[in-house]
Amino acid sequence: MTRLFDDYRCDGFFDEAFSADGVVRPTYEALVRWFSQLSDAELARRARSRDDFFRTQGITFTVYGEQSGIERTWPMDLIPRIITASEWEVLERGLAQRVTALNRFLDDLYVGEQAAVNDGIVPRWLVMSSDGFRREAMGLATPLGARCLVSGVDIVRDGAGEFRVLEDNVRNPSGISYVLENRAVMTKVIPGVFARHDVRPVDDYGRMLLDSLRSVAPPSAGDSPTVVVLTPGVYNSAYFEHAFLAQQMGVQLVEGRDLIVDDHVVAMRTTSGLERVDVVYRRIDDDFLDPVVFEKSSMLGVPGIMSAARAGNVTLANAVGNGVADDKAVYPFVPDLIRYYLDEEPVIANVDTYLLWDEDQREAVLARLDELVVKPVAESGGYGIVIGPQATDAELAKAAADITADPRNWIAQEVVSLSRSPTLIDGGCAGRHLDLRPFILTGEKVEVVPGGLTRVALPEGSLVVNSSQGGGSKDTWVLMSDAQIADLRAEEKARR
Amino acid sequence: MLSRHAENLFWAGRYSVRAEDTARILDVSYQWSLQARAGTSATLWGGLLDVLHLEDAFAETGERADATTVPTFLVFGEANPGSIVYAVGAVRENFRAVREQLPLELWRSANAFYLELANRDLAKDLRLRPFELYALVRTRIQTLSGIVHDAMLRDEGHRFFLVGAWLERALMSCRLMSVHERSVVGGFGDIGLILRAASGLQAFRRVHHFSSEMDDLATFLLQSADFPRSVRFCIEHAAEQLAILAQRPGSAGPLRSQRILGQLGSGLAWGDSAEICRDLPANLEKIEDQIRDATAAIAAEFFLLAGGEPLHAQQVFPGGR
Repeated sequence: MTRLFDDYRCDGFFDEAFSADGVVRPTYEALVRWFSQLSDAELARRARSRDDFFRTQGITFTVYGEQSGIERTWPMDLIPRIITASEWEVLERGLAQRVTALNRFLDDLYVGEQAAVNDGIVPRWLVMSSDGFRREAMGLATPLGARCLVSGVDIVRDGAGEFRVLEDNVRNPSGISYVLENRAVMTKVIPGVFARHDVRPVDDYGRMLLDSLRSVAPPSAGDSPTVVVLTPGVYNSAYFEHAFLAQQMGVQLVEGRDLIVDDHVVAMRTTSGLERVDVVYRRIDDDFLDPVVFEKSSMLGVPGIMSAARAGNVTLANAVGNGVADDKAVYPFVPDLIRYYLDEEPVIANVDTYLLWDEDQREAVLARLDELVVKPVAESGGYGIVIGPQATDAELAKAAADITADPRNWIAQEVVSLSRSPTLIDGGCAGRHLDLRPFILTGEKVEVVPGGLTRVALPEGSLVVNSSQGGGSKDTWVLMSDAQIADLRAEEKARR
Repeated sequence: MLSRHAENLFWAGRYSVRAEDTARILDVSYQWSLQARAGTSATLWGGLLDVLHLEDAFAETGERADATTVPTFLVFGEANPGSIVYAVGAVRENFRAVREQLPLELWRSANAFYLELANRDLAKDLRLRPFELYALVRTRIQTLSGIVHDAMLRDEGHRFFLVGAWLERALMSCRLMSVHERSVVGGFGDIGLILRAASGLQAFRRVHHFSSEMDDLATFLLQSADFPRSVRFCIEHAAEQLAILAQRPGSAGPLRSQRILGQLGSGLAWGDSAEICRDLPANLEKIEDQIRDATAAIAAEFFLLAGGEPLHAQQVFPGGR
């Protein structure tokens, strides 16, 4: 029998599984008990089984910074992260609210009156100077105003155990395929303990995504719109997800060269001739989407696709120009956008953020750079982030210089004492910081996928969870509420 | 299916046959060279390059054609898209592009073979154990074909693979005939070796017994309706798959590629072998031309729609012919 949790310490952090050293939270009792009675050999066996599943299915991701980008087998910890039904109810409400407000903001900005900007809720110069703003998208509407068809809103739990939004991702958020694969592997590797919890399923995502994509088809599409997934190709780090989602939805995976725009209509080159395309789930960044309009040298895009969108013959999901909304310098204004567009108080709070283009705030930040986290506004994947308490003098000096040179493009936040969770490390178990990326779909309605990708910073003490920088993951279990369990039982009974 | 994927599978079919049949031709050439009289080596190996239309590509290496340089060139020649290593790599790359639509074992088999060749000391193999190497290539490709046959869904992709494979095989059988035809000058002369290269010796014996007549070889390798490597057999099977692929909504009448293959097939089915042999080099040339035309027509009809770019610069056999 392993002494897996005997030496487990919370070290002053909010722990997902333990309320104090040696005191397990009720939700985790069954799980901790089960893992505790596993022998070392059995634990190792399950870990190997998990590795085999991921390896044989080729579920990999790319780690940059090494020679040429190495493909690693996807890392998933065997201990899942559990979210109770009541915790989830709050998160779900908050996420749906936030994504609704972001959609309203973007729709208003590109197609509407720009009311929030006109009324000074967000400074106009900030919006227009955003890296993500695209004047080419002005006047280009998405049906149902669903510009953020897929959103990934990163959530953290602070030292007090409160959920907070860390950042929004509404351009090209990825990771859902790992959520689905994690669940598939967990059910195979620890079926017994999985069955003892009433976990909300996630495997309906393919259908949910396809429904959302179909719902934003242009009116010209008719009853059965043709949806495709547009990928940059096999060398893209998220290619696995592109192929996976196309397969889950049963739609064609295409590259730029498979599409042609003729007379403002997008079509696929097939062996039966040209087949019209109505909705493009494009996993290519704005800059590379259309060489006629954006980067001229892009070989990945489809020349003329923007003209087809403008003519109302194709819908691009996610919409072009969403980067304004997930610009980290706009992030501090999102709670006000929620209040403005929805007349509601934000359910989930932001992390306190300092605006560095404000001279006073900037001075205060530069004075205590070693205590704060600074982030470049337009990056993703955790790149460019400087965590003050962990940075070298040289890194701090560079951050100060960058901020002074280009304050509009940096923000600073207090270091959030991210919650930790027991993670299997080197045959034992230790606390590691984690976050959560839930996925939200917008179509006819806003739907939040139960759970999301829990990302774990694997090195001891690290706060960087991104997989491209060596992070790991956990399966995320959202438990059913009593009402949902009762409904399920009633359904099963009715079927018999 | 996407035109690009159809093209990938078409080329996977072609290159898989190219790899195997190049190994076969090398095997028979090497056996002959062991039996050959002194002094015929250069003409034998030079003749082989001619037959494969690789004489120009080889000339660029600056080497003299002999029993070492030519097999090296044909097995792992750097700039040779007709080499076995190149062909195996091309099979793998083409499968990789459509990997999600293939049976897992098929991708694995192609990938494993590619890696296996990459890890072998091929120069050493050619020095010490060439026959084992050629046998290995044949076995691996036959395994691949087996998986294609047993595990691949009978969809458009499968048919394009077959069309590519049958057309390449038809070309290769023409080349075998050319090798024999030139052997009168170059020093082959033994139709048994040619037949062995085509795995057809026993079949030939059952039909034509111990004949060593050109007419009989031509009848067998060009016109047999039953022998799977005869040019006629390959053309008819390619045409069969093409007929199904050509059934597209809105299609009206046979495609140009179908016409070409239809005429070629019936020409072989009804042709008089004595007449064909009377001017064999010219007739083989004509057959090859028709196969090339059919390939170009297929590309235009299925792959290069609306100004698309071909996946492979050489749509026909390397050497441009």
